[in-house]
Amino acid sequence: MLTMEGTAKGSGIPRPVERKAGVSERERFAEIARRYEAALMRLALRLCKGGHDCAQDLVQETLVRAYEAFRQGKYREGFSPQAWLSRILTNGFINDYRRRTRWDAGVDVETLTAGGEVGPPETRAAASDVPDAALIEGTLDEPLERALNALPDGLRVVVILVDIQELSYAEAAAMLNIPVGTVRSRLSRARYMLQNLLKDYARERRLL
Amino acid sequence: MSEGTPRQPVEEEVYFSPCVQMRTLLSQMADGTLRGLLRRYAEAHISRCTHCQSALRGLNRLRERLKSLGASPAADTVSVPLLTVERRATVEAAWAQMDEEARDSRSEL
Repeated sequence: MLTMEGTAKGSGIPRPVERKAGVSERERFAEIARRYEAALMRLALRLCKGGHDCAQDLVQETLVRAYEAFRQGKYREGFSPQAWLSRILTNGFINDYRRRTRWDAGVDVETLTAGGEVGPPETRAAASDVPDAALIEGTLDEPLERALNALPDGLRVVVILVDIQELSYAEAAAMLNIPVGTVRSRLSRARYMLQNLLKDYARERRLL
Repeated sequence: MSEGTPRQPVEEEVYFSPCVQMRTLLSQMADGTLRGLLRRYAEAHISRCTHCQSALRGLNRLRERLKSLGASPAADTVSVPLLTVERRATVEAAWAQMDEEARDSRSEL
């Protein structure tokens, strides 16, 4: 019996997972966790700007919460396990972020100028300012990872949800508890900021 | 609705600088969420404005690069650090505790 789909390594094609007779719920879940642990860690590192402790905390918490939900039958068969786990992880990050910052007040992003900059130029982070330790190991697009890490958190999370995780505006808005129009405007600001950061980074590299 | 006044083409220095009123519309054009009248307005403007044409090309390229960060087939082969042994043990202990609590609650019934 087919229970859930996965993604064949490297193919991007959904792969069915067979329910094996005699396999406990925990063994089934452990198999899912093992298969998607690297993808979860990659997402966690991106959300945490490469912070290893933060990423480990997030993945650990996600696997515990997800198993609880799995036992309660909250995992819908046929839904991508990776998308389901990613959502739990992202929600965990956002809830923790709300506790630690003034996210609800929107101060972190609402003070941005129309051009997407934060504060005067001398105070802005440049892509090249991002420490190497904050980069995901073996990243395939280092300039873009650096630029992403240099974005203010409120903008970076929206880009991760919509442009990398490929959620709709409505899904991202629901997850972040902000209006769809705010998702739209933050995305726009974030994308132009990324363009500028990439351009600056390329220019700096040429000068080295 | 006015289409605004498209600016004259300039050098690469302002390659990613679209007309002010087009910033969000171009962002939406790039991800396919712009519809109806606003889309027609944007298309008409873009057809006459090289600033906005190049900005849209840049946004499309950026979207492709971002998408590949999450979905690149090669991403599965790039090594990332997994959970530490201690944390894995903590997770497995939490799973075992949940199983035990479920067994206990069933036996009480």
